[in-house]
Amino acid sequence: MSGALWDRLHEAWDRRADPLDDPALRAALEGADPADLEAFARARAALGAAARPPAAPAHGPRRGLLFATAAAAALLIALGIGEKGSGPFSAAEKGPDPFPQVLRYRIEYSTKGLGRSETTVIENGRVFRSRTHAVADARIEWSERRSE
Amino acid sequence: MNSFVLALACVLARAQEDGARLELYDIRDLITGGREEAETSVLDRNSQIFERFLEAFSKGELRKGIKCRNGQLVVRAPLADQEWVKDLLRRQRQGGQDTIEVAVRCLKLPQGAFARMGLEEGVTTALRVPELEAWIARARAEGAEVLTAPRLATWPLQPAMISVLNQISYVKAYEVYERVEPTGARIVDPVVETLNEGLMIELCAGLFEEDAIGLQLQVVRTEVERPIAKLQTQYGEIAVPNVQTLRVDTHLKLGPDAAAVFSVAGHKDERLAVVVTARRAPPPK
Repeated sequence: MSGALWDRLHEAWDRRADPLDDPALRAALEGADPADLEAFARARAALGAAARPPAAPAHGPRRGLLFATAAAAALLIALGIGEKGSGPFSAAEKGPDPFPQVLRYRIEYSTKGLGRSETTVIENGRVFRSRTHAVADARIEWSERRSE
Repeated sequence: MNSFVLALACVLARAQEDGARLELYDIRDLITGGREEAETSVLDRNSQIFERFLEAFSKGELRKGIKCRNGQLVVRAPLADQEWVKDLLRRQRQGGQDTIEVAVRCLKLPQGAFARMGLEEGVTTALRVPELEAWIARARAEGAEVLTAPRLATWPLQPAMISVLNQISYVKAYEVYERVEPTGARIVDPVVETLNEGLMIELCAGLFEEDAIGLQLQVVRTEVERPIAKLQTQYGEIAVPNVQTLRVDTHLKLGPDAAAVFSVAGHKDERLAVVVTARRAPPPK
């Protein structure tokens, strides 16, 4: 799932609000990849947001929301995910589960060789990548700090 | 020890000021496994590890009021938080001789298989232990390779570490002394570097409410690409190894049938995943 979606999901979770009430997130979902929709639906279910009563249907953007939710559900069913007792993530349909709770995490993956190094760091959902190349005596550094 | 007593006195004075309760807990039995003869250095190291562990799993004011030195835990916190700490320590002692067994599986997956297996970069927590074997079998069918799958058993709150390392020494460079008196000879001294290739796991685990297991876990996996690239210099051959390092550092709580998958995109067309599970197990015979 992209970093922006992940961040918004967690912001909503921190506010104890349904992430789908966030208009910006709904807009992002409408243009999201199917894989992102699927990941979003799973993450939302895992975070317990799915257990909240659905918000009352409203005007305009709600249609987009319904479309996004339906598309995510259809994808999950098509992939065999979410059906009782089948698929690797069938737990997603069980609703909120107190465990596992990942309080914090940091994953760092680096490759180092002659004159070059590449590092990816994922810290609590945020992704940072950096790359360094050395050419002759000059060192060219390039780094990217962004959430994906 | 004197500085610790002084710090304790300061903490006590502050506790009286803001009305928080101050409690002192003797946890030497927990962090050393009841070994009376545990060295001071071991006691101190384990105390610091436990302090980090407790800070990670506690909330609010309690997090700021924890100090642990030489097997003595000092907690400055309101009554409810003190009860939580007492309950936590009681739960570890009630665990009897049961160990906590943690399994860590490292997988390398082809790029396409990553999404098909329901993974995303970061952490995935919806995978359950009863489905794990089927999931791994499916991953293998998708072209995944299980790189390593160690299990580590430890007693509650006792830090544990396992490492399976292969040391590789190589000539990294040459140090050249152009003219050494009195002979005027030139000395070329090879600089030898040592790499540790393999897996290292460090963990501290504790028993929490609802049969959950709390883990403070660090996994480091290092791989050196074969064959090791070599360069010819005017003084001799040097090696320039390509080293890949994967490091996962986390605090998490796992239920009895829960698993957590940490995954990251490699820099070639590969994806790496670390699957962590934990369970209570009878003591080793």
